[in-house]
Amino acid sequence: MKRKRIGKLVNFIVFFSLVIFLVACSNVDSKTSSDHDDKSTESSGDSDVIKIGLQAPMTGDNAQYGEEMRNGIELAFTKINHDGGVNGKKLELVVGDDKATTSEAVAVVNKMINNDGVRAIMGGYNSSPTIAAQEVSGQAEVIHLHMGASPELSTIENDYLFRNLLTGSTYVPAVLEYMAKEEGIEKVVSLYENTDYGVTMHKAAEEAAGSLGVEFITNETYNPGDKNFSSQLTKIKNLDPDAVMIVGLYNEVALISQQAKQAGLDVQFFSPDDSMYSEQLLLLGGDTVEGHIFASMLNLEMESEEMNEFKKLAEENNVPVEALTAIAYDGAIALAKAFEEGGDSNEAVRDALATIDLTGVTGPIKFDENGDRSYPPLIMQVQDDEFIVIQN
Amino acid sequence: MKKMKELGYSKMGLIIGGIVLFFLPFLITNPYFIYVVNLILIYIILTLGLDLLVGYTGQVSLGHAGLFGIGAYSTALFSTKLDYSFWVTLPLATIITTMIGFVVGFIGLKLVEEYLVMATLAFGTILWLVFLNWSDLTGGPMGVSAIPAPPTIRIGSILEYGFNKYIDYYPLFVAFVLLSIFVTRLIIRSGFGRACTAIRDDELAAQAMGIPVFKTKVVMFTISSAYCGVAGALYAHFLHVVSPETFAFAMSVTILTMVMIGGQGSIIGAILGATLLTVTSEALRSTPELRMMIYGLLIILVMMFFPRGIMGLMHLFKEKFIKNKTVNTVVNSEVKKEGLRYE
Repeated sequence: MKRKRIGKLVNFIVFFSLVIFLVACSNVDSKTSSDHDDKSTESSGDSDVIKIGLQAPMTGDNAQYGEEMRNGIELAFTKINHDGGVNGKKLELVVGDDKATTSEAVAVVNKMINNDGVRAIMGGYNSSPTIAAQEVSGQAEVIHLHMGASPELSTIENDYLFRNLLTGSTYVPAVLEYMAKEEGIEKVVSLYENTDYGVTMHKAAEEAAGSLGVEFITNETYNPGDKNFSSQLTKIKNLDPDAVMIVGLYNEVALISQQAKQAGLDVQFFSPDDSMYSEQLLLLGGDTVEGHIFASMLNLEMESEEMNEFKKLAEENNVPVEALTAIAYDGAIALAKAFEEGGDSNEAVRDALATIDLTGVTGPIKFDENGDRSYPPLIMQVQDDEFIVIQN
Repeated sequence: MKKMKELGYSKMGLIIGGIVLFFLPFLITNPYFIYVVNLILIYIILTLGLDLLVGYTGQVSLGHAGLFGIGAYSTALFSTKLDYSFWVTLPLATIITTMIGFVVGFIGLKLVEEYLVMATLAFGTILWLVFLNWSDLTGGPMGVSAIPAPPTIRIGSILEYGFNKYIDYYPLFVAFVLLSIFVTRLIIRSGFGRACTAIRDDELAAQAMGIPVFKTKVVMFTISSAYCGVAGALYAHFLHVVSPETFAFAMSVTILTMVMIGGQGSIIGAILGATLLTVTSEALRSTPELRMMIYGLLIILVMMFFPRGIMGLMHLFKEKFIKNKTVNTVVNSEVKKEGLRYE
């Protein structure tokens, strides 16, 4: 009997120490969620800190994108905080994992705005979660600088919503025009992700195709996270198209390219945007992604003052140079600039961001009336395991 | 003090609980916390529903996320595609979920124990795949968005109550939770409820006593799915967006874990389980990479050391407390009961 009681006591102690450990854990983390630049965070007093939230997939299939975005923002914050911060205030990053799903995105944006008191949200990499989450940030009048490509995001009436990317309706015609004029394609099959991103990009492509003499003979879809594309590829092979447009992320692009090769489908693949502009594509796809054409908003090999500075900073902080890291870095710099001009009022910061005019790593940072960045994209191709600009 | 003792601890707890529920919106001003509280209330309804099946009838289901999804999706579709109001979609969703629950129960409950678990698991996965792949209707991975809030309640010109903020949903959800608790109590105290408990404790004996085992189980499964329908409808109107990943296998496990951690066959247990798990999951948000790991570890440990959940633990302490007090008197409660020791 006595032994039994002791056993129960031990259980009880284990349980409570676990609870205490958990509580302690969450406290510590909420204090130093900006992990890398611990030195500069004096924390607590909200008057000397501006908190910015990151809504991005940190776990799951798309975790790599979240990681790259975090790297970029942290690089920018390290630099700004080192140079004295924004009007003397330090920037602090609060990371929120949206798992690339809508419900988690709503929850996490909610938490960051209402609980952590962030003044702006960066991210939303995937379009569908961003569309859902912007409702929360829009109601709270918090700036939401996202990185989704879907053209649908331009049509949403939310003055606080900005896009740190070119919109799909800029990317798609550019790449289609190149494919029609330089590669001479006529019959295209589109294979797209069955999400807001894929569907709207495909629609934009179909609209642009008419005037270019390109015809979409059929379209196939897949769900994010799918691993097997053989049924779609077999159908595509039977149609014998000139080219296949893949609207998707690098995981899927790499897998599709590999499986296409195995299925004996030997056509030109291209994609409308730069979501596959990552070393990961080359690692995963190997030589099967050779020749892949896509439109890109930036060129990491470009010789410019900003690019060199970014690369130097990345090297100092041991961060891999990736396209998305550079894009996020630019966004963070622009946001900091807007906060410098706008000060304590969210509305003033919003107005400052809307009229911002900077030269960033990626190119000119300017937002049009829809809150999108717009300038003509580059056309790039994978050649010998490198990303080469084939048309400026 | 004496009066309090006469009143009994359980009633005192009830009064305290009532006061807390009433004053909660005044105490919490942070909208995020209110959001979490509302989520907890939805989970309580789900947990109560599953507990009727697991805790009181002894049938384990891993397909309740699918039923939850049916509730959420039918509300979402009725309100976005046909512009039906919340007060219409809620009963509609409940009826649809109940009907599907009946069909599933009718087919699945011919199986017992682990075979039933497998069948419900498969059924839950099928539903999830339907949500994910029937793009024309469910929107595929994008789900259904822009689900309207419940319409403003107007009683003449005296009262006007709109659903704009999270706090506005709180009274509505509390009302539904109280209703669910009330219905649950009614069911488990009825003859039908007793029959279910008998099936849980010994199916063969129950059959020998003349209880129609299969029929009872199917009815309970159907009632349980009605809870999921209500929870799903509330969830859809609260979040304004539904997407398939919410209703995947993980959700079924979460609901089941809430039942287990709280303590099967106990209303307070269901409330505690739903609260503890939701709060833990939200508190761990600041460490996204470790979140699921710590969460999983916590569940494993609780299951290892307290397989009967919090209410089981409480019961153990209470029993000891009583035993210590009445050590010299004749103890009648020594009668050994099979199955769960608390009702």
